[in-house]
Amino acid sequence: MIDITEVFIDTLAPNSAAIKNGQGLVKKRRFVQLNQSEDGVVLFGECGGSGSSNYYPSADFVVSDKPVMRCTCPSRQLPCKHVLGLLYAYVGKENFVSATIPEDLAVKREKMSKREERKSELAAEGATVKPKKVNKSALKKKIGAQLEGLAVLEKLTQSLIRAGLGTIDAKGVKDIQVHVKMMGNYYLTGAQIELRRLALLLSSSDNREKTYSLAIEQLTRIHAFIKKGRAHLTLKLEDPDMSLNHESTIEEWLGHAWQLTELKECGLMSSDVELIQLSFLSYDDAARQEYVDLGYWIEKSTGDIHRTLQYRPYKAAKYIHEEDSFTDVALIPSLYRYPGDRNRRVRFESMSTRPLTNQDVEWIVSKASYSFSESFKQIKNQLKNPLADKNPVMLLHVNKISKSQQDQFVITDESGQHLVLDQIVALEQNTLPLLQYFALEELSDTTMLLMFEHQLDTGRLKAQPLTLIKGMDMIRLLY
Amino acid sequence: MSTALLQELHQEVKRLYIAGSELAAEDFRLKRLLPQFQQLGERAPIFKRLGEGVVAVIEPNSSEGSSSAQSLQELSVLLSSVLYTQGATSPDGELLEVEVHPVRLPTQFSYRKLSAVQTALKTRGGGRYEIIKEAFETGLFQDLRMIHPALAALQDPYVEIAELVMKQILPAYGPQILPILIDQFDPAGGIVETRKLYVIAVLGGDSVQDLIYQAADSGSEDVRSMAISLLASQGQYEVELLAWSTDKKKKIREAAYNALAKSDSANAVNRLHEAFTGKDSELVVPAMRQCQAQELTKRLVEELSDMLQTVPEIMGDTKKKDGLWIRVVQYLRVLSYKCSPELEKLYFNVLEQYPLYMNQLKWNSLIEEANSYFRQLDSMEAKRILQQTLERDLVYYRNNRRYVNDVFKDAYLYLSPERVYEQYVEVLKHYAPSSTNHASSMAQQLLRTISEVVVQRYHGTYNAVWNSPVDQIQYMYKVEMQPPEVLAIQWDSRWLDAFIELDQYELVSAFARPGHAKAMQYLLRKLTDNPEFRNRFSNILLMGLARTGVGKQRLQEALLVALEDDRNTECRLIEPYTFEQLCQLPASSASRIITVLPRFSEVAEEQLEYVIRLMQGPSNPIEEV
Repeated sequence: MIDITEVFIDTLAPNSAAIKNGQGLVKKRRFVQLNQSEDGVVLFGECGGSGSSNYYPSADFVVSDKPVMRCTCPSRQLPCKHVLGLLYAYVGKENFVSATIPEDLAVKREKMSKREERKSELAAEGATVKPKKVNKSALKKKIGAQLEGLAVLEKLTQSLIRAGLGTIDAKGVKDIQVHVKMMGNYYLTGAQIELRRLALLLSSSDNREKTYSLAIEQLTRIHAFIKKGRAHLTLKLEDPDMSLNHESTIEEWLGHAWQLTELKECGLMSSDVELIQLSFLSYDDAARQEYVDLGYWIEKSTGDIHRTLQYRPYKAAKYIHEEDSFTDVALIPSLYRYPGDRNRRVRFESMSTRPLTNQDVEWIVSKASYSFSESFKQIKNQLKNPLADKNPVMLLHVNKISKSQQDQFVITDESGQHLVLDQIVALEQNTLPLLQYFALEELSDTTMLLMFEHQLDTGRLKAQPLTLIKGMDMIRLLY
Repeated sequence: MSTALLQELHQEVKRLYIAGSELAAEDFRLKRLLPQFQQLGERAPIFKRLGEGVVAVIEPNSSEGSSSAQSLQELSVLLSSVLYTQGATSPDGELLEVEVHPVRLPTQFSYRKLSAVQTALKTRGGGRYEIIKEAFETGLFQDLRMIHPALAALQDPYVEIAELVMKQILPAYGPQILPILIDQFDPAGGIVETRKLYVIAVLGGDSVQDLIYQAADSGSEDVRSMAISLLASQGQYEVELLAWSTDKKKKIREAAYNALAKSDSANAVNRLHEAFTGKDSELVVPAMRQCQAQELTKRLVEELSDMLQTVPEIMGDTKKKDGLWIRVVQYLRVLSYKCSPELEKLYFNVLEQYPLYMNQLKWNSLIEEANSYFRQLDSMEAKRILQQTLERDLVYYRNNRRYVNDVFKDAYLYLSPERVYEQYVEVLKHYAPSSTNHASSMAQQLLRTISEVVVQRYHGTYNAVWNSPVDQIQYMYKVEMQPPEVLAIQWDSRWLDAFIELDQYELVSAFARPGHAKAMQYLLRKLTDNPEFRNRFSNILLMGLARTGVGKQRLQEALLVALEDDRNTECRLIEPYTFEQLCQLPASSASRIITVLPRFSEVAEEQLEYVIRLMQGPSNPIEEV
């Protein structure tokens, strides 16, 4: 028997449009046939499409929480709307007739089970995965190119600064764009993104003062990146192993995409971890030319707050699963951590779930920091590193929420230390107006998940609440 | 640590970034700051380093090999690192209590559910209304995070969205959002504030009367106008409404008039009447039409009657006559939805004096208004006066297009069928299909008018049996004709021959009756000439043939022949009547339909497949076709 819920199907869907289209197929009765294999683990059917011939979607529940979904339609979305429709029809108690599995599907299943067998055999034999051989001369060449690229980047930024930001016109921005392309040839994708961010800032029509400040911050960041990158690459050239640096984020800045096996080799994998999502947001990062799904999670054993980042490049956004906010507890067999400090990026390939309990919420609350000054110290320590994440996220216990004379929300800890809340530049959505919809008693003795930001022009460290925990309720102010 | 000094340096560095680092050499402002850094540097090494950084920037030659830009970058990196550790977190001044407006709503929906409607609410562009409406219907607005976007959508430039939010979405939250709205409401604002006020009034009821009164009294023009209309049904504000009706602003007066129209007190009626006779005579018209007070009607009728009585005296004075007519038209507009014995009497007199008003004065609208008043009445007297007017119209409009249009429709209602035929058949004599002269166009119009009366065309729901059960209710183009029994009583039998002669296939179809061999032959010949189901002809011809009483077999054979005709291609949809006839064909014709099936596409193909299935019996699935 296949035990699935509508929510489960929703999470399988790549995006909300696919959900709607899948349900639409059921509503419009486009399914000509609905079948279930005799052993009950495979659902398959026939669905009318726009073409002359019908499509044959199927869902194989041999591994009950990880169905293998196939369809004969040409869509690049996986699962496509036909498979989703098939599953919704199943949950919607449509009549599935017992039938033998079609031949072509049976062949595919057999091939797959053989593959699985071989895999498990290999694992049983204890065959270790051969470490990937690094072509050192090629790597040397690449590092050489990267160093060259850094020099080009430095030359560009210095010429911009010598002439002054005030003189950069459309032509200047175009010149930066040309360099953005060049950075790709030097294997510096990280630099490419930061330079594009600078170009976007300089061409934006927003408040001049503000964009100049942000552009200057960006320039200093690029300067720090060039310095650190150069030092790192020079060291690496001298290192006979040319191994990756897994202690700082510099590899990522230089454009390295960590592989899970590399992270495992560096000892950055932990087993059987429970994660609870505290907040979620999704935004369009024009500098990356990607949509970003960002989740903040607390790790049950350590109380560390991690983040999951999923990048969906514009060009492929339609075919990549769009993450959703998540309210259960995720049980993760292997969690991979990226190099970094606070709010490290984490990744996992599979998970099971269990519902969030009151004990879990109590535990989350107990992990909040009760001393603002202690937390500020940690945050400031992080911020002073020019290449660190400029928007750390922390869980703070709040004794009281008040308003300042300037009509801003202010939170206070038990020792009377204050923090002004404000909308931060990094977040598009303002969550502060939501605070006025709570009752007064809900605004004292609560726990808040806050995203921080230092604004250089005003010299203020500000924070915006993402989530509020009161009693057993976790109220997501974003998602 | 001296934060102020660091901040000052930050501003100077920023200035140099904008102006260009090449101008940094010997910069006097940095130079002025330098001693302070050197002094502080004696105690704190970080100030010493910053001081060195400043020196490197203002003395380009002091540090070898590095450019001005690089020195500035170095200084900036160091300075911002220091500044990041100095972030101020405390507020300025005393702290105050938070003013809250608690709302009991969960945060239950996930990102993927909410993001589509949130994006629709805060962006611009097409297609948003449907998303928002659907989200409202599925209950997505019952989430704490939706209140703020919903409130903001009151100012959506797309009015439909703003009104959906105002009339449905916000009221659905109930009185709990009232304090938020009252807090946000600005009586001095524009159209957005009027929408807020509307929601406040809907949710607040009596408890917000005062607020609405205040808004009506002292808000902006838009707000006052909305507030006044919201006060309309409240009797206790009559004095104020009367006062506002003399306001200097037109919009306020208009709102006050409309509000007063809802009351039937003597004061309100007096005021409206006063406005109507004064300079607001145009502005007050909608309110006057709305007002149901009998007293007002009575007065208006009396005045109109007095005016009409002066007509004989001013007949010679064109200027006075035209002035009077303008005034009379205003009265007619106001009176057009009213009803009273006095008004009936007035209009009766008007129709009695048809020669004066029509022939001499050409006040057509006056006669028309009186006519339509009597049309609503169902009495012998009304019928008599209408017939009398009709006789006069038949003469008066003889050469006018109205003669073959509205007057004909009246004639059809009030005269005997024979009389109508005899009166009008003359017109058809001048019929020439391609001519545009007056006589011919009168004839063409007459045919169109008769067709309008006899044949109804519309889009309506149709049970599309060929579809799967869920999709069966479809909108389709339908043709309906007056039933033969009705036609036989209400129309003269001679019309049919006239229509055959003029080759009016549609009217022949409608008027066809059993035993009229000429009509049957005509229709059969027409169908042979025009077998294409894609045209609307064939459907109507088939309807006509059924009316001729032609034998079932002959009719079905004609249908099949038309279906099989080589010209019958490119049909995508078979019209309902033809489809029903096809459904009645005997099972033996299945093979003939299967042969022609490839010539039909889209819906027509499905329809024919259904017909074949029907012939082969219910157990046969479509695949075997």
